Order: sequence, then C-alpha cells, then structure tokens
Amino acid sequence: MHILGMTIGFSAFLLEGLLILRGARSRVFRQLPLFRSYIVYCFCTVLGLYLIYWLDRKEYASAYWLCYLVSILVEFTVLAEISDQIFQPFPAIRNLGRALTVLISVALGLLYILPPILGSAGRDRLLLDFALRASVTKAIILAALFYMARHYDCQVGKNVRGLMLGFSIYVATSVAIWASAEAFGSALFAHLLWFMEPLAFLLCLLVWTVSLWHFAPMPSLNAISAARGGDSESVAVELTRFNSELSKFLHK
Amino acid sequence: MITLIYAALAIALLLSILGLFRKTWSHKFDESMPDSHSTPSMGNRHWLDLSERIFDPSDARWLAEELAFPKLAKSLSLERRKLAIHWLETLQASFDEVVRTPELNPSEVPAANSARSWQMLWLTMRFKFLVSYALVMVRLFGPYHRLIPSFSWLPFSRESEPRLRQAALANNRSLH
Repeated sequence: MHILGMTIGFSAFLLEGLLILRGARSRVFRQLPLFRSYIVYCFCTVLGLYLIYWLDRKEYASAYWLCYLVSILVEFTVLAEISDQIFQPFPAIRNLGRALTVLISVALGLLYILPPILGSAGRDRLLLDFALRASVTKAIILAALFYMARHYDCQVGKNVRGLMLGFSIYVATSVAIWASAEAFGSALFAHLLWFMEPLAFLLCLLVWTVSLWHFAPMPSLNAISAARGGDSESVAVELTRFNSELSKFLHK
Repeated sequence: MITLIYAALAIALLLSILGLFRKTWSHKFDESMPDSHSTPSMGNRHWLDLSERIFDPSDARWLAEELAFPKLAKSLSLERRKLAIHWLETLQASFDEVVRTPELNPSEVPAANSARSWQMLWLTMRFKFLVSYALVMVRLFGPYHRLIPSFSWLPFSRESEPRLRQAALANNRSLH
C-alpha cells in the first residue's frame, strides 16, 4: 500500500515537471497563465512535502492535510482558466465564464459549503464534508460552463478540451469517492478509496500532458468564422441596438 | 439515496463533456457548408415592422367588436400568438448570432478591454432576460397583453404623473 501511494505520488510529480518543461517550451503556457500557476503550485507543494517527509516524518501527516485543504481551494484557478478560455474569442460573452464561476462559487460557498463547517461535530467529518461539497461545487460550475458553451455553440481548441476533460475526470471521481466515504464510513476509505483520488489526479495529469503537448489554436477563428468576424466596437454597437429596440418594443 | 445523487452528478458531468466533444466534432463537418438559413438582422426594417402588425390588437378588436365575430377574433389572436412567439424566437436567434461573432483583432489595452467586456456581458444578459420575459408573457397571456405592467392603478402614480408632467412643462418653458 505504501509503495503504491509513493509510486502514484512520484508519477504525478514527474508528470507535473514534464508539463512545466513542455509548457515553457511551447506557446501553451503563455495562453494559459492561471493553469501555469496551478501546475507550478502543485509541483512546489509535492517537492515541499517530499522534503518534509525526509526531514521530519512526524510533521508529514499534518503538512499533507494542510496542503490538501489549500489545494482544494487552489483548484478553482483551473476552473477560472477553463471559463476564461471557452468564451475568449467572443467579445460579447468574454466574461460570462468568469461571472458564472464567481457567482456559483460564492452562492454555493455561502449556502452549501459554509453551514456544515460552522456546525461540524468532528475534524474528520469536517474534512470529509468540505472535500465533498467543494468537489460538488466544482462539478456544478463545470456543468454550467458546458451548458453555456453548448448554448452558444462555442468551439474550444484541443488544448482547452483536454484541460476540461482531465479536470472533469478528476472532479467526477472525487465526488464519487467522497460520497462513498461519507455513505459507507471512513473504514472503506482507509482500505480502498484512499489511493483512488491521487490515481484520478494522475489520470487527469496524463490527459493534460497529452492534450497540451502541442499548441493548438482555437477552431472558431478559422476561415468561415473569420469571414463573419469583427471588432468588439461593432459588436457593442449591435448589442446596444438590439437592447434599445427590445426596450422600445416592451414599452409599447 | 444521497450517494446515488452524487453518483448521478458525477456521471452527468462526464456525459456532458462527452456531449460537448461530440458537438465540436460534428461542427468540423458542418463548417464546410455555408449557412443557408441566416436570421434577419436588426437593420432589416421590414422585419421590424412585422412586429408592429403581429402585436397590434386593432384587427382582432375590429373583428370582435365591429363585425361581431368573436370566434374569428379568438382564432386570429391564437394565430398571432404563434407568430409572436416565432418572431421573438427569431429575434433571439438573430441576437445569438451577434453574440457569437468572434473578435479578429483583440484590443491591446487590457483594462479598457475588460471594462468594455463587462459592459457587453451586461447588455447580453439584459437582452436575454427581457426576451425570455417577453416570451413567457406572450405564451401565458397572448400577444395583445401589455408586456411591462401598468402602474396607473397606484394612487402614487396617478397623483405624481400630472405633477411630473407639469414640472417638465415648466422646465421646458424656462429653457425657452
């Protein structure tokens, strides 16, 4: 079990290093600044944890859980990156993803994540609740982003698609694992489920490495889209015109 | 039970992303075909004038009150409701086309660009909300119902309206 955990952790560390190296060489990381910060953070965290493990093993467990709690929050940067990238080519809805992410995070943070933290019985239960509810919040944000992307026929590039696929696998697995742990008790988690989440993250990193290996431009800026494309000024004029016509119509 | 809900959420998330990829894949084939069913633009005056006719209740009133054909008037208003819904949906589709216009040369000034982006998002959301509201109202009450509720029954508005009008008149006189 110990060897399995070490192997998964070391493989994730290697993939993160590979992603940083490859991203720095290709143009991918210039297009994804938030994602770049997230991967660098993950790499540094694992490095720090290895150092703590070798220097002071007693402190390792508390350091691990502290890093884990922080990483639950830091993962929201990946969502922010995805939300920015999906609507990037369209000036009218460029900030739609960011607005959705912030609104859902704040609303669910206040109504869904915070109440069990304030009235929790024990530390284990608190951690479990927080991890599960944060994962559910991320899943809801992802689902909302997918729905809006479908609604507006947004075509995302291979890089962003990979980012979405990898993160969705990780978030979906996390929701299933934490829900099972809550339903069947911590004993199941200690025996079977403990390595599933790092394994899902490893799979997510693998998808990211493959999809971000080469820079791929957004497909919406191909020849046909370019033919009907314009500048943001003309789009703003059109939007204002539509709004004023509709207002006139409603006031009749 | 709650575990099942969470499991369903996880599966739905994975299915939705697969659905998105399928759509992106099918678009690759669709893009080669030019779009033959383009929606009318805001500049099309004839199309805008059509709304005047669709939402004008005078025909139905004339049929019901002057010619005394209430059944015919009712069937006309039912047909007009369908037309009104279709007109509003086409307006929405036309707006969505504007929203989907990609920017070819993004601005170099990020702060100004960001402020303008938020403003455009507000305009987009406002339009979407208003057109959805109009669709609900037309579906529920038909095309001849007032879309913005009148507040004339309120004592405040009844008293304040002439006062406001007088104030505006006085203001105009003083300017001249």
